[in-house]
Amino acid sequence: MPIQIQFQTGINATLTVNMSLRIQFFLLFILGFTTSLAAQSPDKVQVNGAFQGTLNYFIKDAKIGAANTPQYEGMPLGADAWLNVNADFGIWRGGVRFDFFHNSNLLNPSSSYTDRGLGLWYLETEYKKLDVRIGGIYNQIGSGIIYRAYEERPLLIDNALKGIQLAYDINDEWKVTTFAGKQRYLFSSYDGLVYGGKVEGFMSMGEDNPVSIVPGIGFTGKRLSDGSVDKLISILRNYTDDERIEQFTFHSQALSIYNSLNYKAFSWYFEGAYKLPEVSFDPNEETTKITGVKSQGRYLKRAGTVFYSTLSYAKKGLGITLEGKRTENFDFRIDPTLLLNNGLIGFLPPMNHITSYRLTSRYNPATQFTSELAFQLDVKYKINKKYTLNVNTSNVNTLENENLYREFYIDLQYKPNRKFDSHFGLQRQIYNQSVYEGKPKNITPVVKTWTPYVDLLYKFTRRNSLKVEAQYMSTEQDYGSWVYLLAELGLAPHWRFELSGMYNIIPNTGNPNIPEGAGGKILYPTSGVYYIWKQSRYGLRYVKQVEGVVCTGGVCRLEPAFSGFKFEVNSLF
Amino acid sequence: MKKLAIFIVILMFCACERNIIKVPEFEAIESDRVVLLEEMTGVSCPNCPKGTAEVEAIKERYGDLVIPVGIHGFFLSWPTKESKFDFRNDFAKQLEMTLAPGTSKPAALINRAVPEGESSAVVQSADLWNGYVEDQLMIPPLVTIALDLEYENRNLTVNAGVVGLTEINGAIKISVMILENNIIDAQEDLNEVIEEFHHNHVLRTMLTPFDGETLATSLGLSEVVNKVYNFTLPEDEFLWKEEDIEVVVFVHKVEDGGEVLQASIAKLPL
Repeated sequence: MPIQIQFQTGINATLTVNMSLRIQFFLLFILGFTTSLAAQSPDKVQVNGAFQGTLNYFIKDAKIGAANTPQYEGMPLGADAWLNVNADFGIWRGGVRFDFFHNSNLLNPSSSYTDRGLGLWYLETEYKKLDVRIGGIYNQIGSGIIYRAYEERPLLIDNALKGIQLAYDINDEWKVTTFAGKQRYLFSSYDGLVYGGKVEGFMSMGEDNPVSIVPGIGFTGKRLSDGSVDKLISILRNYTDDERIEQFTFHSQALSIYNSLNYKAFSWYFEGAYKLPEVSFDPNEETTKITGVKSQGRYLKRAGTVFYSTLSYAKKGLGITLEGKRTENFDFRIDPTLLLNNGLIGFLPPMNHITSYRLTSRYNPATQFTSELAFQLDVKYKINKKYTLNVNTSNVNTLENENLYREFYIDLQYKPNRKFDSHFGLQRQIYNQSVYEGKPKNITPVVKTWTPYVDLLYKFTRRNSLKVEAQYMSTEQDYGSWVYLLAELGLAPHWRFELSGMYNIIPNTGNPNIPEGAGGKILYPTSGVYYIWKQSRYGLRYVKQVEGVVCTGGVCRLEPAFSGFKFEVNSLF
Repeated sequence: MKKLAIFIVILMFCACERNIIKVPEFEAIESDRVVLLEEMTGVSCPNCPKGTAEVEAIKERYGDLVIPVGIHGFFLSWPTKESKFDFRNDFAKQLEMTLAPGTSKPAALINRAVPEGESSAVVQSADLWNGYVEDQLMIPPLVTIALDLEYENRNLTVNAGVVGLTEINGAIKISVMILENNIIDAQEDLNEVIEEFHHNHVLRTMLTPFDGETLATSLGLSEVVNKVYNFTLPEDEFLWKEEDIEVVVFVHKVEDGGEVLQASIAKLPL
C-alpha cells in the first residue's frame, strides 16, 4: 500500500472512529428529536433532505493529458456524495450532513482523497427576539469581503464556522449578530479562532418616492493557533535582516462598513473594508535567501483594504449595472501559511461576466488578493417583445496598472414566440494566462480570443424540445482555436439526452505549456442521458474535457483534463 | 438587551487582546541526526525554482545535517522543449506515486514524518520546510549509520552498517539512493525557461527497491546490521560524472508511514 495512503489511512482511521461516535450521537439525537416531536405533534414536524452524488470512472488518455494522477494510474473509481437531513419543529431547527469521498479529485484535482463521516450538523432555535444557532454556521458580513462562510461543492470548499451564532432583533429595523468558532476544514477544523459581529438595519424616508437605506457595519477577528504561530516564526526567523519582521500578534481584525441606497429605479451599494496590519503572504514579492538567491513570494506585515461598489438602474425593459472593486493586500486567512483556497475567511466578489457557454467560460479571471482594480458594466435592454440585448464589458488591472483581464460581450436574444428561443452572441477576451494560471511569463503570451456563438431552442410540443449550440473560439494562444457543438433533446418529464464535442480545430502545437503528449487536433466528446423521476435526477455521461480553469461562485482553480464516465444523482426528499 | 450589549462589549474587548509575538533570531543547532528532505520537483514546474532556492538555503543553514533529494517523478517532470536530459526514472515515479500522489509542486517530505499540526507528510509550502527540518533535528536519532564506499573503474561498492542506539520494536528498512549534482539543463521558472539551470541532488537511481529493503524485524541496543550493495556507473558523455555522484543511505520504519530514522551521505572516493 502506498506510504502516503498509509498516512492518510492512519489519520482517517482515527477520524472515522471519532466521527462514528459523533455520527451515532447525532443520528440518535436527530432521530430521537424528530421521533419524540413527531410523537407529540406528528402534523407539525417537517423532515426534508437532499442527496447529491457523483460516481467517476477515470479512463487514462495521455493524448489529452488525462494521465499521471492516482485515478488514471490504478485507482479508476472515485465518488463524492453528500446527504443532508433537516428537521423543523416549531422554534427548533436541526440538521446533519454526511459526506463521503472515495478516490475523489475534488480536494485536489491531481490527487486522490478518501474519507467519510459527519460533515456538518447544526441546531437552531429562537427565544423572543434572539436566534441561537450552534454547530455549522453559514453567514456573511456585507458582500463577504471580511467574512463569508459558504459551501462550493465543485471545488470542495466548505468553510462553515463550527461554533455559535447569536442574532438579536433590536427592533423591526435593526438586527445585531455575533459569532465565534473554528473554521471547518473537511471533517475537522483549523485550530485558530474566528469571531465577529455585525449590525444591520433598514431605514426608509419619504412617502411618494421613498428613499431606503440598508446600512451595516461588521468586524471579523481571528486568533492564530499555536501551530500557526510556530510556523510563522519558523519562516520569519530565516528572513534576512533587510526583510525581517520583528514581531506580530496572535489576533488580527478586519472592519467593514457597507450600505445599500435605493431610490426609485436606482440602487447603490458601497462597501469599504479595512484589515489591520498582519502578516500575510504576497506571491508577487520576492524574498532573498541567505544564499543570496531571490525566491518568489514573501511574507509581509501590512494593512489591507477593499473598496467595492455597484450602481444599478432598472426600469421596465432596461437594466444597467456598473460595478467596481479595488483590492490591496487582502489575503485574510485563518492561518497565513495556508495556500490556494484553504483557510480563507473572506470572499472577494468576482468581476467578470458569468456565462454558462462552454467556450465563453473557458477563461475566467480568478480574484486577486494583493493587487486588483476591476470594473464591470452590464446593460440589458428589451428592444421589443421579440428582441433583448445584453452588453457587458469588464476590465481587471493590477494596482500597478498591468492589465490582467478584459472582456467585451454582446448577446442578442430573439424569441418570436413560445416555441422558439435563440441567442446570438460574440465575446472578446484578453486574458493574462501567466498570472492566472501560474505559467512562465516569457513562454505564456496573453490569450486573446474572439468567440461567436449561436444557441437555438425549439419546443416541438409542450414536452419535447431540441436545443442546439454552436460556438467557435478563435485564438492563436494557449491550445489554439476551438469549435464546440452541442445538441440536447428534451423529452419531458423524464428524459434528456445530450451530445457535444469540443474540437481543437487549429491547435497551437508550438505551445510549450501543453502537457507532454497532449495537443493537436483532438476531439473532446461528451454524451449523456438524464432521467428525472419525481424530485430526483439521474445522469450518466461520458466526458472528455480539456484542461482549464474551473470557477464556481468566483473562486477558481486550474483543473487537469478529464476522461471517463460520470454517474450523477441529485435527489430531494 | 442590556445583557446582550454587555456580551458584545466583552466579546469585542477580548477581540482587541493583541498579544505580541517576537520573532527570535536564528540559532544554529547541534544534532546527531541527519535529516532526509525529499523534494518533489520537475523541470516543467514553474514554481520549483522556489523549492530549489529553499533547499539551498536550508543546506546553507544546516550543512551536512540535511540531505536533499530531488525527485523528478512524473507530474510537471516531463522535459521542456529546451531540455537536453530527462531526469525521470522508475524509482522517482514510484516514490512520487506512493509518497506524494498528485501533489502540487514543489512539495517535500522531511524524514517522511507528519509535522505537528499537519495532516500529511507532504509539505506543499516551501517556506515551511526549514522549520520542519529544524523540528526533526531536535529529535535524537534511534540508529546510527556507518557508510563506507569503495570505487574503482566505475564499479561502486556501498558498505552500510546500521547500529541501534536504542531498542527498536518493529521492522525497519534500508534504502540506498544515487544522486547527481551539477547538471546544467533547462528549468521552467515563473518568468522564463532557464536554459542553464543548476540541478543538484537529482535522484538518478536506487540500489534497493523504491520502498526500501528489509533490514531487520527489530533492532536491539548496539546491535549491528551490515549491508553491501554494488553498482556500475553507466558510461555517458554528459551525465553520470563520478565527481558529481553522491550515495545516500537511510533507514526507515515500515510502520508509521515509513518515517526516516537516520540518513547518511558520502561522495565517491576518487
